[in-house]
Amino acid sequence: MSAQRQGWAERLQIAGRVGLTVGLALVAVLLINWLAARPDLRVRMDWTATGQNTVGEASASVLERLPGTVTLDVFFRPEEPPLTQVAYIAQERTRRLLRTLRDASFDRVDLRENDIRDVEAIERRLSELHLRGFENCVVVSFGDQREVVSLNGALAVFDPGAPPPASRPARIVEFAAERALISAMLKVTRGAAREVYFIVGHGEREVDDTTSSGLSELDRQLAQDGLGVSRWNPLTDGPIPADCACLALIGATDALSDELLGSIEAWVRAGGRLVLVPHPEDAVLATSRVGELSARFGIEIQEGIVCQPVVDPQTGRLSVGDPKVSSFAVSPNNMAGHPLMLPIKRAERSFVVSGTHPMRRTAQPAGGVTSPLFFSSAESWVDGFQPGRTGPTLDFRPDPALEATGRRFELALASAFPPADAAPQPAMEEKPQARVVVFGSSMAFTNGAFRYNQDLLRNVFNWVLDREYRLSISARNPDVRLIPVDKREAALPLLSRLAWGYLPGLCLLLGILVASLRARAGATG
Amino acid sequence: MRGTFIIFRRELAGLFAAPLAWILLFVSLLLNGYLFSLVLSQTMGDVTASLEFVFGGNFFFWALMLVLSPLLAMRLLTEEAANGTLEYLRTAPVSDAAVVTGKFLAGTAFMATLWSSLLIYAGALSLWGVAPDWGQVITIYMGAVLSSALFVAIGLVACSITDIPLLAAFLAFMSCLLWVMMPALGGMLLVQMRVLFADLFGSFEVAEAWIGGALERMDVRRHFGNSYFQGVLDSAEVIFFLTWISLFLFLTTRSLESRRWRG
Repeated sequence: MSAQRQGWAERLQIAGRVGLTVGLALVAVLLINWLAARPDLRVRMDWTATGQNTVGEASASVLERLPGTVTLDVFFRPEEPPLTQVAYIAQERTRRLLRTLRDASFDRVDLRENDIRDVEAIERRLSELHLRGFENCVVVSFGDQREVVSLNGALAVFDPGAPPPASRPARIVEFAAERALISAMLKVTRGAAREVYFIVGHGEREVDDTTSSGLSELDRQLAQDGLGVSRWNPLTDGPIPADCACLALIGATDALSDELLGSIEAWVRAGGRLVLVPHPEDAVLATSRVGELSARFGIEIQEGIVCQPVVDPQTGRLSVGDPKVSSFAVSPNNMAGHPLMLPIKRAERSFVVSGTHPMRRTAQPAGGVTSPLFFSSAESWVDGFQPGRTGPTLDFRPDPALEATGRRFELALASAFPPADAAPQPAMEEKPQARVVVFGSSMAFTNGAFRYNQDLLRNVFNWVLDREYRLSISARNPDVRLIPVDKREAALPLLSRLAWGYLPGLCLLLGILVASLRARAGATG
Repeated sequence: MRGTFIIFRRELAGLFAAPLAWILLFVSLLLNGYLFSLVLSQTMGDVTASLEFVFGGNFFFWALMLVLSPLLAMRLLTEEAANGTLEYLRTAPVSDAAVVTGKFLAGTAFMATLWSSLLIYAGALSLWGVAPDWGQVITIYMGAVLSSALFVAIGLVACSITDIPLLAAFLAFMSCLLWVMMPALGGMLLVQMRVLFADLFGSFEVAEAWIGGALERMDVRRHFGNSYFQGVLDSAEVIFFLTWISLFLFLTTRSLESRRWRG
């Protein structure tokens, strides 16, 4: 009896020791996993060819500067036909992007993927976020600030297709989730809105003008980018508003007063920010005195229109003699290495300028630097600039005897310099620095050119406002790899035969061979 | 180490000498091949979508893993125990840990062979001039092998408990299934508990968030989907698989050792 009891005791002791060891091993596993998941110890390597799981430089910079933890609530549900399939694809791509953003944020992004099947939890969360109803969206929140980013319209743009007889399937027109989410994060984490004041009262282009020559698209984009947009009429509104972070004078046609020129110059020299863009016509440039204002910052806006040879896409011929030559695309080769241009240059994008004056730096600001942003091509010429000649001069043909030809002309310049004195300071964000951007033509800012130039314009205002980290983020496209149409007919049957014919067949044959060899070995053994 | 290698070689040769392995391979390759060619033709030759669907993006991928790993574990451990050869093996001059590790590596190598169809499809596509994203292909393959290895390890623990092959396979399958279903089951349980705890204590939110987070961290499909499947090699995900595999191998070794004192 006692031996049996002793045996049991020994077994119990061994079981206890084993249990303890197992428990300790389990704790060790949990601890190691917890440690491995710490952001500062974790290493993620994106092995995809196009870096699909790596956020862009601009996004990474924004994530790095987040002042605290931003919560992203995902509320996705199936869309009604015909968008069901494309919405699902967009949702999956957004989810993937959200995880990438979370992983790149070092715990600054808290991702909550709400399960639509758990109605009670969904309702509770919506109530916490003070939201009514449930739409397909991602809610970005930081403290009391929140921004709803809709699936259809913000994260992605869908084309619902067309029913028969046209029978065009629904498709994703644009997937801009990264841009939309980063913008929303910026919006909820910034403090009070920073105001950009557009000067009016001198025939300038208007922010509420929705025609092709208006600036309504620019207005919409600036608002989307978290900036306040207001109009300032110096004649009726008094001095430059105290909350003004940036002044924009775009396409003035009437003369600016001495007082206005003086007040703008003084404000900029005190650390203000200015975007200055003349009207394309030479006569207006002179009468509006925009060139005079620009010259006060060491930037000369010259007369004439920069043209460059443009090939007519219809005929394949050079469009010399046609106004088309004054409207051309600026390729990455003609962009300078300025921080404002780098994101566009790296993304190998181009933009369009029309009717632009050539420009020149006449003096470097004290303690600062003025540098070009982009140029025309080496074959360009300045049309209509014929000193001493009057009357109509634009013929859109190079005339080496009368016009400057065959070189690259500077088409926009940016200047940054320290303020002359500490006070009064405009409503700035970070560095006490004055910044001026001068473009050669206001046509680049208009609704007509907006779809070509939106990244450029966003960058202009973000750089001027000292928000380099908000520079444009290109849309993230999937790495689609398709078998070419011409090879498809031959490739698909062969691949099918290989996948579920040859491979399993080979396996079966090997299996039979092994079985027969074993049977033979058994029979002889 | 040498003992582990000897056991590994013996087990792998034994696996491929048995008809069961070839039948499993045949069925898996047939299923994967059918799905691959189906999706490839339906997506008009979309290489990435086809490979992603077959290797991680569909139910059968996980079903194959859940069915094959326990069967392999059963074949590696329980059948041998039932035949009585395991006892001979354990009297050989190799440790229990070496036996378990060798068997585990053989099972994993078999699963790696099974998933190598991914590399074959990708290679065939490359020959047609449409190279898939090889970085992603390699990480998916690594993820599939590591996930299979985890299930083989879970299966070995379950199979080390009993000498009855059918019961072992069933236990192994249920353990693997439970591991996969744990986050979903836990979530459902939490919903029920929420009602109960709300009545008793008024709020359950903190505990719910904590338990929900813990369950999420155990989700093998999430670990696979968030990194390997997307073409990312993440140190935390690698460590997740390696540590849990190590724990289960440790448990298997302890379970085999316990046969001595269990009597």
